[in-house]
Order: sequence, then C-alpha cells, then structure tokens
Amino acid sequence: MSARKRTLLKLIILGDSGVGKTSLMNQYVNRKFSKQYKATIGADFLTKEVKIDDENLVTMQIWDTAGQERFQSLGVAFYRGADCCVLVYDVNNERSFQNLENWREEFLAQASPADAENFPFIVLGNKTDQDGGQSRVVSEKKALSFCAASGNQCPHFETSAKEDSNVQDAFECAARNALKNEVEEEVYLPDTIVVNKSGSNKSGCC
Amino acid sequence: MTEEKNDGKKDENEPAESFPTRAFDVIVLGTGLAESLIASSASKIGKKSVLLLDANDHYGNSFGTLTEARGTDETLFKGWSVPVCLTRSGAVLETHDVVTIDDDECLLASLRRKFSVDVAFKFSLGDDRLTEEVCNSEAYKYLEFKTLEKSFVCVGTSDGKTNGKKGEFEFVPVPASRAEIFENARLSPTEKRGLMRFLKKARDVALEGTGVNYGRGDDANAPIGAPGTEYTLDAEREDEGTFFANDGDNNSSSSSSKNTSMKAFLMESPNDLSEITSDAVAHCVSFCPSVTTKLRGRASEMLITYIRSMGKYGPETPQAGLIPLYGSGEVAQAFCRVAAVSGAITALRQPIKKIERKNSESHIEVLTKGGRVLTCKKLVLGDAQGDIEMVGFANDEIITPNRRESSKFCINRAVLVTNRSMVGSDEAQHRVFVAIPPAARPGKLYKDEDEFVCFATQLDYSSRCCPKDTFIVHLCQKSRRTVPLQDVFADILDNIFSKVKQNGEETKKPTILWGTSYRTPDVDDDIVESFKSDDFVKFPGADCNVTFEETVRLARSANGCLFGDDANASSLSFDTLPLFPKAPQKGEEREEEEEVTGDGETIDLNEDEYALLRDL
Repeated sequence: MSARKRTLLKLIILGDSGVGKTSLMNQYVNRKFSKQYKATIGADFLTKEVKIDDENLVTMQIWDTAGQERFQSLGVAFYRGADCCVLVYDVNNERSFQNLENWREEFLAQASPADAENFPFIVLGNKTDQDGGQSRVVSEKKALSFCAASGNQCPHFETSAKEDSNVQDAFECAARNALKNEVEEEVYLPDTIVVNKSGSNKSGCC
Repeated sequence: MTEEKNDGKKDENEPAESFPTRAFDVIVLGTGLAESLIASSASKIGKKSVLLLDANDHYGNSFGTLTEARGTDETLFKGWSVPVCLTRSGAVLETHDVVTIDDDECLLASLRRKFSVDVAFKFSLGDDRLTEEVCNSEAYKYLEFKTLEKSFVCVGTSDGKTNGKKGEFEFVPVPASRAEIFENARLSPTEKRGLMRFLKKARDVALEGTGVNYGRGDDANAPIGAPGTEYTLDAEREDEGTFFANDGDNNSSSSSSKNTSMKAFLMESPNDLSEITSDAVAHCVSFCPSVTTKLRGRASEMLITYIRSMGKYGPETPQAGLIPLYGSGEVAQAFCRVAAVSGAITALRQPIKKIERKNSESHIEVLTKGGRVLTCKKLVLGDAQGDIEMVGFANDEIITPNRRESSKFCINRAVLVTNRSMVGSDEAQHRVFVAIPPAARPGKLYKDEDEFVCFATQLDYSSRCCPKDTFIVHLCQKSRRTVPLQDVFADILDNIFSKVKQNGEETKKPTILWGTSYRTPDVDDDIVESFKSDDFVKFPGADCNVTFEETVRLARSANGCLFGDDANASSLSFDTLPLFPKAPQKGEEREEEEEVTGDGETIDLNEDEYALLRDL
C-alpha cells in the first residue's frame, strides 16, 4: 500500500472573488462557460481524469472556494492536503493581482506544506478576452516578475475561461507540477472508514 | 498567518465585499457543531437564505481544533503559553494550568505544525446521529475517519481485584466480540453468561426492524448476540419494558427504572453483573459520564447505538468508535462548507455588538461591531461570540456568565502529548478509549467526588493529530466547582504517566512531553431543553460527553423548534427527525447536480443542468 502510486491530486483555486475561479474550473472540466456572473454557490469540487505525459492516469480533484474567499473565511480543512495551488487574478483588475501575494501567504500558513519553498503554485491571469484586451491593466511582464519573485519557477498563464484560451494547458501544467511535488512523507495513505458507503450496503460484518 | 496580515487584508477588502442588506431567513452566529448543523440544513435542505458569522478567526469555537497555523506562531508549543492559544479558540475558559514542561521543548517546537489539538475532543459511533447527518448531508466528502482500536476500563489495584502493583491502574480490555468475552479470564463463567444474555437482549432490540444481518452466529468474531449464536435461540422478550427506561420525556409516570443509573441497573438483579463489568458497559459502551446519572433511557439508547455501530463497516473494523482525522474540529468545519456550498454566506472575524428582537416587525436585528445592521427572521446564537447586548429577549433566553458560573458543576479537560501508548506497545492499541471510573480511584482527595468518570482518549500518528512517535491524550471529567482543577486529574497523571523522562528500563509509563489542563462551564440539561421560541435558539458550548450524540440531538431539537410545524414547535419529539433526510433515490428528484462534484467520477452536465448549477 505504501508503494502505491499517487492517483488523486488535490488542486485548489484561490484568488479574489469575481476573477473567474469557478468559470476556469468549469471550462476545464465541463468545457462550459456561462456569461452570467453569480458569486459562487453550489460549486464544491470537480473531478477530472487526466493522463499526464502518457503514463500516469490521475484523478484531479479541483476545489472551489464555495464563496468562502469573499470574507477570507476559508477554513484550514480547505487548504489541507493540496498538491498544487492555482492562484487566479483578473488581468483587468489591479487589486486582484496585488492580492495574489496575500493568497499565497495565506495558503502557506494554512496548508503548512512540508516543503513550503518548493510547493507548486501556478498563476493564471484570467479574462484576457474582456473588451478585446482594451481594459487590461496587469501586463504579462508584471505578472512574470511576481512569479519570478515567488520562487520555484512558478508557471504563469494568461487565460480566458470564456474563450477556452490556455485553460487546458494551464491545468495540465498544474497537474504535472503537482505530481512532481510528490512528497515522500505523504505517501502514507491512511486507511480510513468510508462512512457514506454503509447506507446502501448494510449487509453484515462477517 | 499573522494577525496583522489578516486585519490588513480584511480592511482592504471590506468596501468591496459587504453583506447583502436584504433580510436573511436565518442568521447563525457561531460555528460550533450545533450551529453549523442548523446553518447547513437550513441552507441545503430548507433552501433558506443563511448568513453564518463567527466572531473568531476560525471555525468551530469550543468544537474547534487548535493547529499551529491558527495561533500566532508562538502559541502552541514554543513558550508553552497554551492558555493564550486556548483563549484564541474562543472557548470559555475559567481557569487553566500548564501541567508540565519537559526538556523536549525544542523537539516539539520543531514539530508543532503537525499537532491538531481539539478544545473538546469527541468521537462518533459508526451508526450514531452524527454519522447519519454526515452521510445524508454529504459532509463525508470533507471528512475521513479512523476507528478506535480498543476500549478499556480502569481498575484500581488496592481493592485486591487485580494483579497490578499497588496504587496503579490496570487497564482491562472491554470485549468487542463473543470470542473476546469467552477468552476473557477476568470474567467468571456465570458472569460471561449473564453478560451475553444482557447484551443479546439489547442487541435484539437494537437490530429489530433494521433488516440488518450481522453475520453468522458460528463465527467467533460475530458481534455479541449475533443471530444464530447460542444466546439468540430463546426469543423471550419479557424484559424489554424495563430494559428501555424512558427518561420522562413523555412524562410517563413513575417507571421504577427511571430512578436507577445505568451502572446500578447492571449490578442489580436480574442482570447481576460485577462492578467492573458494569463499569465497562456503563462507561465504555453507554459512555455515561457519571455513575449516578438517572438518564438510563439515554444510556440504553447509546448502548443500542453502540451495538449497531460495531462491525458496521465490515469485519476489519469491529469497534464502534470513529475518530475524525485531524481532530474532531473537522466535523463542524465540514458542515460549514456544506452550508457555503449550498449558498450560505459564511464569514469569520465578525463580532456582534447587539441583537434586538423587534416584535412589531417580527424580525431580529443584528448589529455588528463594524456597524452594519442585518436583519433576519430566525436567529441562532452559539457560544464564544463575546459579550452581546440582547434586547427584547426573555430572561430565560439569555444565558449570562453569572448564571453559568452559579452552576454547581464544571467540565475539566486536559490535553497531554506523550511519547508512548498508555496501554503498552501493542501495534493495535494506539487509538484507544479508556474509562476511569471512581471505583478505580480510591485514593482521591475529595471523598464526595465519587460520581464522575474520567474519559481518556488516546490518538496516535494515524489520526493525523500528532507526528510519528508521539501521542495525544485527551482527558475529560465533570466535577464540582469546589474541587480545584489541579486535583481533578492528579492521581491519573501520577498513576498512568510520568512527568520526567525515563530512558527505557523498568517502568514503561509514557512521559508527558507537554500538557495543559483547563476548565469550562458545565452545559446543563436545563439549557438544553429550554427551546421555546420559534425565532431564536441559543446553543451552549461543548458538553462533557465523549461523543457528539447529545450535541446532534440538541441541534435536531432546536431545528424542530425553529422550522417545524407550529403545532409541534415545542415538542421534543423533534429530536428524532434528522436535520438531513436521507438523500432521494435515483431519478426521484432533480437534485443530482451535486453528483458532479461527488466521489471521483465526473458526470457531463447538459445545458439545463449547468444553468441550474450556476443559478442556484
């Protein structure tokens, strides 16, 4: 059991509200986009099976903030056990970009990954499609320098969830980095009780 | 995470994000387990608009878990200023004491990120109310559980009943199967038979109508009283009436059993069990916190829940107890996420200044310390929300600190970090539950303290609450206020643990690497049973029970008062209605969106379903 290959990756998406976290996730997993903005309700996590580099078949579990980011009220359980953290800003919103550093620090404090220095982050600048790019305020150069400053060759993508631009590449990159980051000490997989299975399958213990 | 940063961020974001000004159906202040249950159920099942606020900077209050990430980084182990850290948990602390400081401080400081210390540790049973809510609410997606491996009852050695050294406790394993009862050298043949007969009777009732088949009787590992065993052949049921004592919820007239505690009942005819066996059943199976509590109906119910829980998840897990990974604080937090996912607005660090019931407008106004006025039809108030001015509420709806402190009793807790298991080095005996009944503690200082049992739960690395090679032990015991905190656990600490480092040799006692004890107000049943209004409920903090059962019962009852039919609003029969009904069967309802996010499989949504998901 201890030698088992990692097959489930937990990715969490962080960033200010309204930057398109849920849309990115939906575009990646369901290939769907809705123009209508509603603060996220009903989105929990989405899963997708992906083949990375033609060898590892992994299940990506992408966790949405469920709106709890609006008041910085994500609990420690949300962060725990993440294999990769996707930081999202809106290229048309300067503050959403400035807040990335806060989100990054919040993540490191709450998730307390074993190796904070090398923990895989990936930065996405979303909504490149807006006004045909006319309203952009965060340049790619600026974003790249943030990535460089945060170390560990943090990859950067400019995306449009609406036009499905770069979304697939970005999440695949996230998955690849998450796999690379496999930490030895976490190989221990607790053998836990599956409580929800019991309801339908109540047939005896012996 | 540091305070400054958080505050900074909050201020910065405040103008951009504020609460909707419309009236909410429900505002819940506090994120303890009962509050989270109500908020998630109102949101997910009741489809109500819910605002869930907490004055503190984390989820759970007295049901929460302390992790290093949550305190300022000095609080948990370095500097040993644990009380500070506990205060931050929002629990109401009356007094505290740091038990010991060992020279392993540096070691612990380097590992402190790996500890999750519950303010009030609790576990669930495989078939109890909490597990039912966890399954039906889909909170299971955010939780993982390990079983308790073994239960023990402590026996003192001065009464000549044991072989241990004088003045020490002996840990007597509580049998979990027929085979274990038969193999138990401590039980006489007569008592084995008596115990089997008793448990079989309980089991017959427990499994009646459930349609559950718990395996074949000739299997030695079959849970006690399994159908087909020699003790199930006789179908006599005549004692059922007395077996199920009613606690008087229906005001049924003087049933004699009402006046008997679980322990006394077991020792009396016709059960005639020995004191040790009675203690084992009363405290390790029924989890009675006291030897004298008259609520034998609850105890019997717990016994039945226990029996139903045993082996529910297969033969590899014969034990009934389930420990949430990363600590029991995860449970409240999971329900908060259920609420958020269902549309509740959740926000931490939102202290409240005043709540006012406006009868003329039939709503309740909530004034935050930030100066916002929020309104709601129903209000739920949890513990640890600071001093809130309450206007328009009846006296018995207000629980003042004075009133709580005038209670004769209080709850004492201790948390210890140790270096080895308190029940030997057996691989399978790391996650254990131990009941230490008063009978085992003849040397106690306070002679009138002969009612309350000390519960000890030990967790190991596999529970994810502590790093490898360390253990966390949670002690909990109710007591009179007159007993000083440091005396409550003194004999236990002396007998089971060592406060100085021992390098191998003769004594195998675990060393306390770090420890603290603290005292919180008792949560008495009067408060618990006093829901009257249909627009306001006040929850106390964590009780002295070692399971979540009473808290869930309380939440269900409150839910009935708030949202039930008017005709039955004050009836306690609501207790039996789960907050989360069983999910509809396939094809019954269009509630399948959540399947998308379910357990590892992805379902393609069509346009309609997608729109539904977005617009929910």
